Amino acid sequence: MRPLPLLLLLTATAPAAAHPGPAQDEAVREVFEESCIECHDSVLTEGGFDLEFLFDVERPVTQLFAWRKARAMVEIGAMPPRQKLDADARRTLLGFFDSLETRALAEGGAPGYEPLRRLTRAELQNSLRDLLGVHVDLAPLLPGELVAEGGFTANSKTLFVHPDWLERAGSAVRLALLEALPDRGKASLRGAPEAVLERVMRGAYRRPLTGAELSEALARFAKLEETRPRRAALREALAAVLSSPHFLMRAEGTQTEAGPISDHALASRLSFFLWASGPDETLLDLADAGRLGDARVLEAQVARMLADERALALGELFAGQWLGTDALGTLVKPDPIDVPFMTDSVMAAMRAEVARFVLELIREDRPATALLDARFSFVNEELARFYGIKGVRGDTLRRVDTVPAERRGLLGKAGILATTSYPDRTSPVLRGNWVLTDLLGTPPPPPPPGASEFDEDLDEELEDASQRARLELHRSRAACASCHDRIDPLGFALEGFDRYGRSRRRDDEGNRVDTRGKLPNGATFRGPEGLAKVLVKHHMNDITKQAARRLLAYALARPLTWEDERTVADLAATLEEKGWGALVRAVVDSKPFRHQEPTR
Amino acid sequence: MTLQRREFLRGAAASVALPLLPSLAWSRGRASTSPVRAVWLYFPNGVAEGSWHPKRVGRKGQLVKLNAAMAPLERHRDDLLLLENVHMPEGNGHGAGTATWLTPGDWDEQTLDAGGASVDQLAARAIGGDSVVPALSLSTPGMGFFSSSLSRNTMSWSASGRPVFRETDPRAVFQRLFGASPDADRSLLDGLRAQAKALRKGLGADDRPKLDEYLEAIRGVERRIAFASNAATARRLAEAKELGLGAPPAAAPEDHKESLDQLFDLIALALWSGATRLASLMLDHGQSNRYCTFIPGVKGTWHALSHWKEFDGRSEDDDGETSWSSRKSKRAMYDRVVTWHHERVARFLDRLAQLPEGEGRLLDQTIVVYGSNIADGHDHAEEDLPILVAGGGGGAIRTGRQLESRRALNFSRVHLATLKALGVESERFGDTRRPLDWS
Repeated sequence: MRPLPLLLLLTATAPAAAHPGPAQDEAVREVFEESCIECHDSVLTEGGFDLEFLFDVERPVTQLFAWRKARAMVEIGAMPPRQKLDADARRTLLGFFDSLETRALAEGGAPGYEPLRRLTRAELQNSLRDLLGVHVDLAPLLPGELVAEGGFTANSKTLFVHPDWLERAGSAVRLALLEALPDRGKASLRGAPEAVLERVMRGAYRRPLTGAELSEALARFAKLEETRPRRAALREALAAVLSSPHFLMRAEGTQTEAGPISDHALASRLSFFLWASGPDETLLDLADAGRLGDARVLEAQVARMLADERALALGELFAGQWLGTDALGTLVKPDPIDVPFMTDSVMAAMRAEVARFVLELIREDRPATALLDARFSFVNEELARFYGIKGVRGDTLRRVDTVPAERRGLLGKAGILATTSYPDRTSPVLRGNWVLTDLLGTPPPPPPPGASEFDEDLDEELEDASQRARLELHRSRAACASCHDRIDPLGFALEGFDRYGRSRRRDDEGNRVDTRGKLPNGATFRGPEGLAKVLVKHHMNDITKQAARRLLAYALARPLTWEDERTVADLAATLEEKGWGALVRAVVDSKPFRHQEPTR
Repeated sequence: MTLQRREFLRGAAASVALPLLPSLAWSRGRASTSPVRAVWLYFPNGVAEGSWHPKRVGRKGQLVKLNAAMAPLERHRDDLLLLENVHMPEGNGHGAGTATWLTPGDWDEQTLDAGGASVDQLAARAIGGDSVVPALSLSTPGMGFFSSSLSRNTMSWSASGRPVFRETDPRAVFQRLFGASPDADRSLLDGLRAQAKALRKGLGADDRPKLDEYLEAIRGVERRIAFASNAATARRLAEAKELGLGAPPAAAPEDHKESLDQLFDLIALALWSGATRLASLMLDHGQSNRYCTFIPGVKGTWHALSHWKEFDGRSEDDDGETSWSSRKSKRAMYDRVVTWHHERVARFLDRLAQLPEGEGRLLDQTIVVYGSNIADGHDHAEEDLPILVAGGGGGAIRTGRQLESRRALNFSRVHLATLKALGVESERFGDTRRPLDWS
């Protein structure tokens, strides 16, 4: 074989040649300088968008997310304001934005780095349940996680180890131990104390124990037993194990070199992803034997774990936070006296319905579109009454195969309809915004300055008008229309549901509801079924991408970067072609899930 | 449950069950000269325009009569320094302005960067090392939307991207300061410390601080035990009890007022006993949606009230259930909410004035910075923020007056002056090199 010319070799191995950035590309630069830089230089930096900074960045693709915000503004014509870009300039900018997307797919794919983090409150509670066999509600003992906008609670960027948190976690551990090993009465931990200690310790550390670790723990127990009863001694010995950084922090995956993660780190990632808890003995045994990374073994384990009831955590934490229904009953809470039918139990059922629904899509490997049109759901007697479904008894949610047509898929779920309403009325704007932001992942830009004054004028003009009439007048203003033409019609389709998610014929003002909507692209629809059809026909691409993004970020417990876009594209394609179960399996198989950059 | 509750409270103090170590700073005893303390008190949602500036000011700026909405603070007039034209040049919204109230920078939600360490944490790093708690960080449990928003619940940062947790339970705070467990198990402590250190060795520079925090928790409990078993501490606690400053009741605070008053009492006790020299309290989170119906004549949430020019109850800030009859009445309620919080602060200043310290009062040795990140809440106004200073700062501050300032006064200059008065050597705070002259 002839040696390759040197030049070719270089291009083949060197990192991708420099991408002509906005500053180098004359045409692009010209448009930005003519129409944008006046407000977006590094001094004014309107809207936090600093073009001078972006021009200076060596690899423009690394700022993909900032450029995407700009793209959204340009696409809907909100930027530049008070001036319309001519067709050429617009094409130039969109071409530049497109080139960034292409670059991201071509150059991204590095596995990313998951910073060391502690367990979340939910993960600690679930781990104590699985290790000790007790249920302890940690909500009164530990503060809930603070989250950055759009993030999950399990996010290594926002999970800090505050000394106070650590101490309170220690208290929680002691409380759980007191339940598991009471001084008198039945203990949930059985067997010889030494065996219990070893079993719990292995599960808690989520990896094989070193000989020294085990012998130290056993020696401590023996010493404690000299001065106190056996159970008390075991409690103290276990308290040390469960206060250890090896348990409270996710340290089992730490690597010093880039590359595939160990089998034990994989067991942990899997179990925290699917169960929000540590790995069980089956996973640890497989990891000990070095077999978990084997493709068949892994697939079988994912199937086993999804079938297990612990997988409900995936529905509750992933779907609840992605779709916003976890706010129901905590942040969104109607007055129990004025709204007696919105009980805590029905709101819990609404949350659980969405969690079970999404989990079932995964368990049954339903196609991507089932998110919008699946006929099954999960209800108990109270929620069934809410929906007008007959023949469901009892408090336990159970699967029903056919719900009324308007309840199919996510768009008809009361949990979503209630969390996207104001306390006193429905809001087509909030619901439309939910569709665009949470479901499609294409959030509209924030309202322009002065938007609220216009609202005030509207109020005076249209005191008793219907929501639709008010919003139509609102959209007659060009500055509002560019976004609200996209937002409001989506919400109109859902006006057949009141602010609690009940079906209705008349709106809050007593007018007959009108559930017709028309999008800027000309698509028309009526009601939730009609909207679902339009979304299935025109927007599955957005929905699968959004689902892939959210699930990957949840599985990795970190915010995604431009590097992840390639994985996201692959995952979205898998969801579109093969369905929800395949998506979960593809996440588990993905490079960012199976690889790790070294500790930084 | 009683048993559990007791176990929890005991655990809250010494769950990592740590022993008494003799070799700690606090066994050296208290310094003979009284150190300067600092307290930062934050309230959200601003003040209606015209409800902050004093009603009458003498020719040399001396305070003659405070604004009617500030009536509770009237009795502390001589201990106040009202500032004019304070602003935060990097911006001041509900989220960003809360996150950066005590920092020199601006807020980046993506990187959780508030522009560097906050003033209380900078001071803690320099002078807090010997204290049981380097800086006490307190808040009240949030209500409604944004209760879990990181930016609205965080005003202290140990570094960029490293928010400081705020304790909200008065009983847990008391336990943390004074309730060390006598029957601690030293081997357990040593074992955990060794584990954390071994783990730390294998980590990169970004991950190591997480283990440092773990190690700090262990050291904190050690310091506490030493402090709690120190005879001087026991004496001060007994004296404080005589003055009505004791441990909070075992039962949870009955209402929001009691919760705040208990937290304020704990700050006074912590400063006086030497448990810390630095404390900060968020009277509520940065966009408090708390229902203020516990204040006579008030309805609706605090944040909704702050948008007082819209009174029909239909704006997005409202809960939809509440509406008001006019701008005037809604504004009066907004004022009443702010005044109610001034009353809590006035009561705290009573405490500081009541506690003897050296030749004078604890208040004379303290700098209290009190205010908000927003001027008029309706417009989220950025100019002339409501900020005042109370206390003598160890003789550094000349009080009883309004400090006139024609031009915008960067809040960072107040922070730099506070650092200086605390004895923290710092040439600059962000870009600011000139401390406010408040002498």
